[in-house]
Order: sequence, then structure tokens, then C-alpha cells
Amino acid sequence: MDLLRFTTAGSVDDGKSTLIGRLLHDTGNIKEDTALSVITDDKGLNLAYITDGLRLEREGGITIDIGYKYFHTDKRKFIISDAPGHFQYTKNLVTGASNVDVMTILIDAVNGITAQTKRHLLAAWFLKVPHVAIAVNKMDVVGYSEDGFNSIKTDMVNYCKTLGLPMPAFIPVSALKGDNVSIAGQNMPWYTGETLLGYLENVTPVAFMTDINEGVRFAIQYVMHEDDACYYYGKLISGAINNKVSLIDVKKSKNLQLKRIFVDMNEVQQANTGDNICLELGGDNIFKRGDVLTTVADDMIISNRLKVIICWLDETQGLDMNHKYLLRINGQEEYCMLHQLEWKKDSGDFKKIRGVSSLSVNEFGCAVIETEAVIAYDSYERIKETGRGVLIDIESNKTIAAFTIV
Amino acid sequence: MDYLKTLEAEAIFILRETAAQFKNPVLLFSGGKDSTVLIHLAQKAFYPLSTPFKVLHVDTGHNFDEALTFRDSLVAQNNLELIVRRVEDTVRKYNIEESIQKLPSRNALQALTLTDAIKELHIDACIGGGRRDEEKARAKERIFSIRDVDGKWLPYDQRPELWNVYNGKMNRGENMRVFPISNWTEMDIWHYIKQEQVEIASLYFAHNRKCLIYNDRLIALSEFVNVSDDDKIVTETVRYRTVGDMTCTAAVRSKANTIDEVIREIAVSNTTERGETRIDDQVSDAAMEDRKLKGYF
Repeated sequence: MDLLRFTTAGSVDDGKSTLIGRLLHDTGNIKEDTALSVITDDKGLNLAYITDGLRLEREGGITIDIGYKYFHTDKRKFIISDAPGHFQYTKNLVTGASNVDVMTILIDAVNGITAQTKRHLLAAWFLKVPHVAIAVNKMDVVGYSEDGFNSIKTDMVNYCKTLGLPMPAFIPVSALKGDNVSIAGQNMPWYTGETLLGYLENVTPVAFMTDINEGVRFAIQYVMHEDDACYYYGKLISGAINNKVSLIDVKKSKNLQLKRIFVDMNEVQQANTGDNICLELGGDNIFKRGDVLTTVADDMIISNRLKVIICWLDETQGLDMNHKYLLRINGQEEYCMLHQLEWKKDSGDFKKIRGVSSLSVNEFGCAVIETEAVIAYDSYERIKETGRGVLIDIESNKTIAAFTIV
Repeated sequence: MDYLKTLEAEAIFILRETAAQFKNPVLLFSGGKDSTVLIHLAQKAFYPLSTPFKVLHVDTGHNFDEALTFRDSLVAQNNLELIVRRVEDTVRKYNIEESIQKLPSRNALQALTLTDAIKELHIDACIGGGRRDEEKARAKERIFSIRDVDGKWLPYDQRPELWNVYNGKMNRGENMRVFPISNWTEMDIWHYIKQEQVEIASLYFAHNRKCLIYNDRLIALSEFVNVSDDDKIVTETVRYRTVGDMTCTAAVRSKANTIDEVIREIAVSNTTERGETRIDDQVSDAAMEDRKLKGYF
């Protein structure tokens, strides 16, 4: 059985908790004691109690941070990262959506597309989320109107085109009544597509979309020594290797002698994309965490300049062009400064605003970063894990921004 | 890809990140199935060498004998370095007057022993077997979860944690809790134990036990429980679904003797694992969140 990760993003009060509650309930994934704990004094079942795990969230009726829920059907296992919808918490949404196969955006059929919906689309654009599903909720309140659904769909298609997002799946649902969540129901005969659950059961997870023909990237995470031998632990981010290949350190272009490959608790002849491996290398080469090994010279960009799309995540301080930050890609760390801020995205019409000098929390922009020493990287488009990273504030040690490399 | 492979790969990656980013990380071990699986994963992660993590047991003194026996044999078999710090000593050190209750709980005191051990041993990261599906406050926690100088979790100011980029940088006095199996469910743990043939404490399988009936739950009779004359004592065939303190963990009636039988039992169970077995979560709606604010792991 495989695993699908999806995030649910919605605006305040558009029924996100009800939808998750409905999915868990319909698939038999709510246990009796949990159901009892969500019955509040006079309101009957309050499904938000299932997802809102923090005291202030329950008191305020608003999701503040990502919460994770787990369920399964006969076909698949699912991890939901339930994301806050409020624009103030976009930074948490970005965290929750960063590892998903599908971003499910809820739109209230009554209120239509809101400013927050656009923030959700921007997060999907920034992360290049592989699949987007739009669930138009509260269809029962608008009399299951096909026209209302279609008008939201038309606008959303245009927004997705503007941002270059993959064409989303559009599903009209009533989380409260259950229409098109796990069963189609009788109320919308005009809709012949999949239910939301059907869609989630059938969509292709990222794990199956990895291009195994891409270049080899072994990023060293951790080094251990025993006697005279050196063991390099890390993930084979891309490509496949066998014990006959000759590996090259990307920065020094130096050939290395590969002695043994370990995967799991075995010595193996070959390792594949995604494997956590351990390499024993011969010779007197000393590598450190952050170094990247490959098989073909000049396959990776080695430079101290990189152009990135950046998402600012810190509310206490905005981007400061005169400030030094710590850049991190995988285990590679290097001090850097923002050399140039080319534009930021208008969160209303998605146009590029030029001539800006800073980004504040939850804003997206395009910048050139200059690092103190050269680093090895790829474009996010080509190899995700070597094409993305974070900026860390040197004083507070907090992660204050995330970026993907253009 | 099979989901257990995916979850295992995620956990191994996190364990390697922890070894790389911290100077003195320890693995918290309780004798329970989750921390046992963590030890198994920590061995896989550093093969062919042995795991670089020391193992820390915060001993409440209210242990099941079986859990201690299991701990010692696991440590011996795998050549692990075990550190034990006792709540008993914390109680003496601070002159704490323990409440005299029917089921005296040292669960909250455990946090104090842990934060003291962190200071004493200069531990910068504690790897724990907490899972997000266990409890609703745990469901909100990051994988690298920073604690402030007082050991407190800051649930409303958590760091962004994108992709698999875990930020282990901290200021002086802060401490990291790392949860490599955050995304595993109770069922995933059992299927993994089966697949990998991980040895677990015998408490998880059916055995006869003398129990006290307390609020319709079965509490093992022990020297830590204060029995009164009107208490109902029964001998039942039971097993444990979670292993914690003898005073706050309830047994479940069960005849399950094998992992397959346990899996079948959990699949049809109508309650969650903590709901069925943990007395300490029943205190209030935010019991876990409150404990975490006080340094609980």
C-alpha cells in the first residue's frame, strides 16, 4: 500500500474542519472516544475539535498552526496536514504544504474566491505542489447550483493559468451533508467527476513521479570514522549508483574510489533514488557534511550567486538587504547577503511589483543571493532537494525565509 | 513505494540529521514499543557502524518489572550506553512532597528530572518516540521542536519547517526535542514490528494479572497503588496497549499472544490507544499541551 500526503487549506469558516471530520468519519477513522471528546455541551458534534489541537485554537475557533491527521482506506494511507487559512498564518501553511502530493484548497460556494484563496494559490505556486484540487464547499447552501460552481471554476482556472500552476481538479462538495466527499450522493447529477476521496485515492503521488534518469546527487549528511575507514551517510537524492561507478566531488572535480555501498543493514551492489545510503570511500579524501557527490563532471551549478524565489516567514523582521544571513541547502551552509530584489508578487492580481527594497512576512519575491563561498546547487525545476533551501537568522537562529532556485 | 518504507526512510533521514547537527544527542527510552522501534531505526541509520546515540531512561520508579528486564536485555544485546536518571532523586533533591492519591502519578515530575538531566549531562537534543496520531497537541508539533531555556514548548511560535530541512540551531540554554516517528500511526508501528521482527516487552502480549478496577479500567496491583478495603480486585487475562507508569497505564482485557493477533485486535478496537489506556490524559482537554509547557517530552 502506498502513502499520499495532502494539505487542506481554506479560509476561515469555509468548513475545512467539517470536511476533514467527514473524510475521517466516512472512512471509519474516528474512534469512539475521540467522537465523545468532540461533543460539546450544547452544539452537538464539533468536528473542529478533532483538528484543532491547541487550547487557543479551540477557544478561538481558528486553526493557527499545522495539525496532522492520519487515515486509511482499502486503497491507500493518507497523511493530512491541516493548514491554517488565515493570511497571518501563511507561513505555517507553507510548512504544511511543503511535503505534500496534493494541495486541497477549499472555497466556500457562498463567499466565492477570497483574498486568502489567492494566498493559498501563491503557496502552491512557490512550492510547485504537484497536484492541486479545488473543493467548492457548502454546495447545499447554494442549492447545489451548477452555475455558481462553474463561475468559481472559470475564475480559478484563470488564476492557475496566470501562475503557471497545474490544472486543478474541481469538485463540488457539501462537507456537512456528505455530497461528493466519499460518496457522490443524489444532489448534483450534473457533476460526473470523482468524489474528493476518489480523487485522493487515484492521484499519482510524487514518489512515483521522480525522474530516475536525472543526474546523481549524493548529499553527505553525516560522517563517521572507524579505524582507518571513513563512512559517509546521506540520501541518494537523485539518480542511481552501483559499486563500479566513479564518484566525483562536485566542487573539486576529483574522482573518488568507491569501496562499498550500504543500504538498510546490507552491503549492496546498487542504490537507487531516495535510498538512505552509507558509502565507504577509499583514498585519503576527507569530505564533510554538505558536500555533494555525483558521477558526471559539470553536471551541477557551482557558484556564489543564485537567483531564487523567496518566501519570507518571519513576522518580527522583514528582509534586510544589508543583513547577513545563513543560507542552507541540504547540509550545505554558507553566509550570504541578498544582492538584489527584482520584484515581489502582488497577492491580489499576482503581478510583479518592481522597485521594492524589502519583503515582509508571508510575501513572495524574486531575489539574487550572493554567498561568501561557492555552493553547489540545481534549479528547483530540475532536482528539488538540491534546488531549495532556507535562510536562518544569525542572532535568533530561527528559520526566517525559504527559497526555491530559479 | 510501500508506506512503511517511506516512513522508515523519513525516520532514518531525521536520525542522521540529529547525529550531524547536535553535539550530545540522547535517545529517550521508556521500554515501550515506540522507543524500541526508535532504537531499531537508530541501528539501521548508522550501519555498518553502531549508533552514536546514548540512551536515557527517565525512571519514575513506578515501572513494570517486565519493562526494566526488557530495557536491560535490549541494552546488553545491542551494546548501548544507558544513562538512568531517577525521579526518586529529584523528589529528594527538591524536597518535593508527593501527593498521596490512590494512583500516585509521577508523570509531571518526570519533566523536572528530564530538564535536570539535560543540564547536568549537557544534552542538546532528546530524540523521542512521540507520534502525532497519539494525541491532539502532539499532532501540532514540529519534528525538530525547540524548547526554551525553561524547557517549555512554544506552541504558538513554532519555527517554519519546510521539506526535510530541519533547523537544529539554537541559542544557549535552549534544547531540541526530535521526533523521527512523528508521522507513524499506532498501526504502522505494529506492522513495522511485525515486518522487522523487532523484539518488544512481554507486557504487550496477553498474560494473567491481578488488577484493581478503577473507573472501569484495569490498573495493575502493585506496591505503588494504594488499595482500600472496598476496592474490587480481579485476576484477568490482559495485555498493555501502551507502556507507561504502573499507576497511570491501564491494561486491556485480551487474549492476543502474537503480533498478528494484536494487529487484529487494534484494527477492530473502537478506541484510541491513549484513550483506552492513559489515566493521565483524562485530566483535562489540554492535559498534554499543559504537560509540554512544563518540559514534558
